[in-house]
Amino acid sequence: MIYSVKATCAARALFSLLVFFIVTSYNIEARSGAPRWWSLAMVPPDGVLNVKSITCNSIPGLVPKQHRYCSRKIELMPSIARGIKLGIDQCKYQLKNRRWNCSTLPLRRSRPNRKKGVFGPVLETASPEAAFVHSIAAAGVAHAVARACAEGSLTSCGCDKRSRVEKGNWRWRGCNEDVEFGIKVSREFADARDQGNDGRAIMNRHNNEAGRMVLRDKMQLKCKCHGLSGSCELRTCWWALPDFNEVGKKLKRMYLDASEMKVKHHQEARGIVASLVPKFQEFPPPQETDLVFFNKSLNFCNKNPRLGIEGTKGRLCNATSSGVDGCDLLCCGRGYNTAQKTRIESCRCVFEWCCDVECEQCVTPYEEHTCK
Amino acid sequence: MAGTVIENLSTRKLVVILLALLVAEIVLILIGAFIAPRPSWAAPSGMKSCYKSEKDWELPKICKEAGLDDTIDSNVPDHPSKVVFTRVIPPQNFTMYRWFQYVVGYLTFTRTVDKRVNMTSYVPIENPEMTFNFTLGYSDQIGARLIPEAWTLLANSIEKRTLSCDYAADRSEYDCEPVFAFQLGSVPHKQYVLNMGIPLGRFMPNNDERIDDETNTQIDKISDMQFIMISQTGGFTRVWLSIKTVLFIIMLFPTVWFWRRVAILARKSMLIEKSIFALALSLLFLNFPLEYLTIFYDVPWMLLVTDIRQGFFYAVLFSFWVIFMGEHLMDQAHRNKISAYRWHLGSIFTASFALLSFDLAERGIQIVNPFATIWTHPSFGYALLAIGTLAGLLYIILLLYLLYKVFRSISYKRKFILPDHRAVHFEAIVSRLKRLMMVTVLTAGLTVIFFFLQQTFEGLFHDFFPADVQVASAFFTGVYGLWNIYVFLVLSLYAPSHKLYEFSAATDENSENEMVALRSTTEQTQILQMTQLKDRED
Repeated sequence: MIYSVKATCAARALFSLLVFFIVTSYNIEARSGAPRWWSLAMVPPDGVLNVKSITCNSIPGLVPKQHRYCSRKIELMPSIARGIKLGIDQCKYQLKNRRWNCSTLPLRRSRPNRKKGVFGPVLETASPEAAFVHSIAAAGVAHAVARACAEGSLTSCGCDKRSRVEKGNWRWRGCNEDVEFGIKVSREFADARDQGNDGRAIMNRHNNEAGRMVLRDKMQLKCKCHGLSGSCELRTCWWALPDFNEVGKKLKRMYLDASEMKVKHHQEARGIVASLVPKFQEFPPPQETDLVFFNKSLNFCNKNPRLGIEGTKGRLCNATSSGVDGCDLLCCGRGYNTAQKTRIESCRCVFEWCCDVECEQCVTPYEEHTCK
Repeated sequence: MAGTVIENLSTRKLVVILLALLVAEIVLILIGAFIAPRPSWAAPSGMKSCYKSEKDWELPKICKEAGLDDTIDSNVPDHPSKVVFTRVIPPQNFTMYRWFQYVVGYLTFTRTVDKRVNMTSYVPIENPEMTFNFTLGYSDQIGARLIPEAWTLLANSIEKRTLSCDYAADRSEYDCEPVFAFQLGSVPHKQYVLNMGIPLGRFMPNNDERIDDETNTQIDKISDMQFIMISQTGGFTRVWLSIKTVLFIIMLFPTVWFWRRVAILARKSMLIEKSIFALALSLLFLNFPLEYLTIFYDVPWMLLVTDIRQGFFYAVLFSFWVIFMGEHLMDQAHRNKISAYRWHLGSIFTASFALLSFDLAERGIQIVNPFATIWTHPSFGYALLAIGTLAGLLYIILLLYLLYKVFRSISYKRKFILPDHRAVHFEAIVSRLKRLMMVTVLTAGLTVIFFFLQQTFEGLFHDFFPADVQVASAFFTGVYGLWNIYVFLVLSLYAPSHKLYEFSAATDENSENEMVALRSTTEQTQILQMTQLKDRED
């Protein structure tokens, strides 16, 4: 009897250990900074984002679940790639004046670069920046897929579940559920990598979802009267995708107000499970639509190749601003250089539909401030 | 008019009838809210910009994409005549159905100022005129989305539209109202394709007077275009047609019954009875489920006919109000002659005629050219609307004046009423008038309230109600039922009573206990006596 109890204990301990190893090995994958498949979005040096030639094997860093998803739904991949690009471009736009300006590594086909991912190791830290990038990427994927769905370029989306019930639905009430489809794809694909129970996976899942919720919240109800000559006896409303700038703006506000958490481990039947709890009890716990992080932001002032930080040396700054884009803050107090420069630029342009711009060339002198 | 049913009906029966009608109305509202889907739905989708090829049709699935935002694409065309915007409706894997009844297409743009344009000297143009070269085609072939040869031309037209935009300086972008593209009054084909060019004047051969050197020079950059397709839902068409069929059959009975009541009278039918009958006929005409035709034939004129039927019902309804009111005026000069109402009917006719012309100029032309809209000739449109509005106002003023006269004469006569059978009868006529007015105001008021509720809370209702409650459908079925009930009440309560020689019980509160036998004189003589009385007083 005693023996068998002991045996069970031992088995349980062994099992826990096994689980622990699995979890930690998962962590290693999950902790490797920004997902490497994000490099889908990187424009090769030779020009336009070519989304038509994507194959599942050409995408680096897919976990098995994502790989299966990819091979099952290859037609979604171009939209997912566009979505990541949308997210990263928006990240750059929103953070352009901050010390970390969402800088990505130049794409090279060389292996070490592909291994590091788009952002390098910066996002390995569970910082507010990581929270922001994850949320904006998840929102971008949902946005781009919803858009492609609305354009009718996807066969698997929206109303079409390829069942007779849905065909009947189409005849009965019409259909447009593009956004829900986009959100579903984003959830299935982007979250597939963060299925673990460690703090970082929970954080990523939370922030991804927060990004998607912002997209859903920003959906605009548009209405059009279409009675006789546009009179309002008949009026129809539909949900339109928001301009992605709006989503980016809102997410940036959330990034500035992100909630700091701490990881709490506890033992459960399935092993050691982490959960995130607010670090400061005096603040209200974060809502579903708050970004969360549990590591402080890195010091982005100085170059740190190990962490993939470029530092602010050489960045352009605004000498007259006292905000984050001002030379004082951006250059971290190191001071700045001023150079008198001139540039030749197009001016007095006249634009003509669709694509003709006639400009004169102007020479403009200007002062350029760069961080020391 | 002889004694009517309403005067001889017991309160109990009246309450039962009203309750039954209330139940019917609630049932109709519930059908709209829970069985019918939303009345119409919109599917926004991107218009794909393509390079123009040698083929007749550019199809989004197979065309060569022309990028319009040169910050992303390197594939920007160098010439506007090379760009064709295209969209196939409906979305992939679906086909259109005849039950959709109509398709309206709108365009929305992302209209931006090119980044190279110097913003300090930029003068925004918020309402430029834009010229489109629309082509619409259809195909019933499966897989036609990949075969340019499978499409047949439906209509082609160069159209001008005036944009209505707001300039957002911080984004150097315009927010524009959707622009009307086309309306099809029937949906007999499985798929439609819209091809659209935005010609630039100076590049175009000047063989069309609608294109000149200024054409499309002020529209800035159209970097993205969306197409919004709006259609009736198949489910709503089914529910609506079922309701119309049932109501048509139900309303046949009171109409026939009413006319038989009138016909068996010894005297000739009176104007007021004729006007009630006309009201019933116009409602039957409106109820008649003519739309079944659209399921079997291509009838692009159905929208126009529906408008005309609706307009006809309103015209008859407004005439009925005037005649009913006037016939209760109780002065002999104006009774039982339609010529007495020439001003009122004239104003109704003028308003109807103006609106009919408006409708013909829009929906009528759309039968031939689905891209047409009356606002290509705004002055014509405004003139017709102005005539319609003025005539409508004149009608309202005349109606209110008539109402004022009626009540003045009633209050005047009350002072001189003798305490005998004539008083009872006079009060009966007054209460008859008051009850109709009550029902009318209630019906019209509910219609207006429903309309505003529906318009105002359409968006908000998403939060208050579960998604499967269809407020807009409930509004349509509810209001439709309301006017059927109104006509039903008028027909059954204002028909000549066959209890002519019995006691008038419960005519109204005042006379409820005065069980006075009516004499066999017709009301006409009674009213005549009363008006003579009035003349004497004058």
